[in-house]
Amino acid sequence: MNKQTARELLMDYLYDEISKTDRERLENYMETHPEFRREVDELRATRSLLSKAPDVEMNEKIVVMNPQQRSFSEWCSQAANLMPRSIWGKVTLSAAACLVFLFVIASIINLSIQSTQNGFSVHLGYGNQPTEAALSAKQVNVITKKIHQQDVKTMAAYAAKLNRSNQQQLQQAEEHFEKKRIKDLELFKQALDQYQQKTNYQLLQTHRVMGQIVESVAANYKQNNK
Amino acid sequence: MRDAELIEKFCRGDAQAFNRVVERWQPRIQAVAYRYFNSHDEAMEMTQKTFIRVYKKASTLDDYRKFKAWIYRIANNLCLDETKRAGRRRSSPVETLRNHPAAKLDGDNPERPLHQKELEAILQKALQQLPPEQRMVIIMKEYQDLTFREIAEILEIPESTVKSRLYYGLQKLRDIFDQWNLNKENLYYE
Repeated sequence: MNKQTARELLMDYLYDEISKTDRERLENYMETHPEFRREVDELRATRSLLSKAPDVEMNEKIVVMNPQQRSFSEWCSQAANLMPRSIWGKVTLSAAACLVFLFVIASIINLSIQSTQNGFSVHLGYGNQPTEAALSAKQVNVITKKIHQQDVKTMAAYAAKLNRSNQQQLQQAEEHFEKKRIKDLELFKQALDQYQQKTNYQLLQTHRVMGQIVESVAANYKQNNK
Repeated sequence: MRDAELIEKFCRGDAQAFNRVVERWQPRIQAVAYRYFNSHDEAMEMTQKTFIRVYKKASTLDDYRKFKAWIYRIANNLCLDETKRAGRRRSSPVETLRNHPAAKLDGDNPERPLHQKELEAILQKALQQLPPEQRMVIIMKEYQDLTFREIAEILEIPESTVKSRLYYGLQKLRDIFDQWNLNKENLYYE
């Protein structure tokens, strides 16, 4: 056996997956090659250390979904288990079921219950709803007359109110225009007075200037005559 | 009932058969993932992903008798994918391990016996130093008791490659243990 073959058999020998013949051959080789034996011993020691590692303990379990496929009979039996067991529970459940059933039926057949003068009326289906009996002609006349009188009163009250409102507005307008007229007259009078004063002042000034001119002319004339 | 029968039943619509498969295989897949990632959370996540893939792809399994290799292959592929995806560098050069905490721990008192939890932590850390391919082969061989033939079938590589990866992986572990002064003499169990 050469070194190459020994190396090839090394792992088989180390892990005891070697045939009896090869084992004997390899052991013979090791007896004559102490460095190879030393290597085998070292690797065996390494393995021995690795084997000291404790087993891995992990308590977590994978949750596996398990879709349940129930037959109809299984479903029925499981549903029956959900029913209440006490008498009161059964009675309550039955009453609730009846109530729900009635509501559903009433909804389907359009059940309606109405209060009338003669008592209660029950109607099924989707036809016209029953109405109360019609009024007599006399009752109609009385009601019409009452409505008419009421309308007349309402209209009269409305007209009076409208009239008062109009009068108030008219009066307010008159007062407004009167005040405005008086104010305009006062303003006009003031403007006229101012104009008159101004005119008088200008006349006075004119007379004064004319007098001075006359005096000046007269004085010049006297000097020329002398 | 054998795995092949269970998986065949599941493919025919028996959900309970899948539950049995999960119950039977969860500890093994979890153990592989835990040894690989050294993390309970990641191990749990990988286990769940493995069974989800089994659930979805079971119908594509040609030979139900190959279920064992198939489920290990799924777990292995998911672990490697996760390593690549996360860009983890779980393996590091041996030279960088000289100042490893475990080495320091032993260096302070080489004679101090190790307790079981410490030993587990150190072994796990040592495993993380290996390249993913070597690590997975060592996990399968040392902790899952699979034969070389089975591992080769799972990883879809020749048996010689399996042995080669195992050899180099063990050598690297031996070097790491030497640097950390970890040997049989300082092991102690409570």
